Amino acid sequence: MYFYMVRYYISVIILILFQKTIVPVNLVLLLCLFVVIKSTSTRKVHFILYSAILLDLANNLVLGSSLLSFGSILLLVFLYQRFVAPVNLRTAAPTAILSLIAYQSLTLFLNKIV
Amino acid sequence: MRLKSIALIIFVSLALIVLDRFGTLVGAKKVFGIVFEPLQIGFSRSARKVSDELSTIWEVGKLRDRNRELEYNNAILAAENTVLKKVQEENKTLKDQLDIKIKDRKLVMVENIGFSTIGSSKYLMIDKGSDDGIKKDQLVILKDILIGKINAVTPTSANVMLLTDPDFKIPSITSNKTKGLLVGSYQKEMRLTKILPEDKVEVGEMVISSGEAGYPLGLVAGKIDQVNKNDKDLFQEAIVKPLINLEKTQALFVLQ
Repeated sequence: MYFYMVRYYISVIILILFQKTIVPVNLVLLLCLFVVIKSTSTRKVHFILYSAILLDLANNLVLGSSLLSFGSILLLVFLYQRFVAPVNLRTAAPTAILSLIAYQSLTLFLNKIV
Repeated sequence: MRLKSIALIIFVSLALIVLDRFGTLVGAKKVFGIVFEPLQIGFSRSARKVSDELSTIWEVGKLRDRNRELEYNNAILAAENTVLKKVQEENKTLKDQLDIKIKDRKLVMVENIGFSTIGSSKYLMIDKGSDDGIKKDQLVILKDILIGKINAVTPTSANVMLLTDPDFKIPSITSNKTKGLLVGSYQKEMRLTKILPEDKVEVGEMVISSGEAGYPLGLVAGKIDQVNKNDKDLFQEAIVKPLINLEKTQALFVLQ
């Protein structure tokens, strides 16, 4: 399980580099969503903490702002899964798009006010 | 993921924001920068190189497409240009012909469509016939140069007996007013015969129709290429070369 998660940790670094140079989309957030929805690992929280902090550091954002955005998005996804329906392939795309928009808005707002 | 974990994430994030707000995480950020920045610079350079390569490949593809498109357009323009050149040539010929007035006689523009060889005779074929008012013995000219006369007519085409035909005979005079009878010879040239021995004939002189035997005056038949003078003969003779290469001539006029 540990090595399974290490694969994700390395992926985060590569994705950060990718999104800073080639693809202007928050790939880390998408990976976090994927891990939260699909992975059965018990180290999800560690992974999200690590990803969000690394993202803030790499982008020179206020430390914790990405994590707060991630937390808020995950809370919404959690509530959706609990009260509406589990996120499946059909709802994955809209969830990802809405999450990206929410992240952009929240992080921008947090970096403005802090 | 459980609600407890999400609450933990939110709590940690708020704690981090507060700590960052008070500048307690500057050291951690600095360490991260030292480690991460070279990695990012290297990756950025590599990505730029890859991006440049990809854009080059992409541009090569686009240039190839563009080249194909231009080649296609060029072919169309070349075809249009060929048609326009033909029209321009026709216009020029018509304009030139209009400048030459031959006793106000009507001219019909015809096109050279090839040659018809019957035995030893070679006839020029034109694309208009009796339907367009073409009749036997009408003269075919280009500007003021005599080409021949209509020999046979069908409703849609006609044969022209050329000046070089042995059966074609026309009274002519040279530039020095020397009279003679122009006769075709071997389908290649003409002979100016019946020139009196005392008359002066020189190479390079132009031979024109004299206006006799029903032919109009002043039509140019050819240029003297060689003079044959023999004291024993009753008459002099000159070899006359045609002025026009009919193989390359497209538009002609029938004098009605």
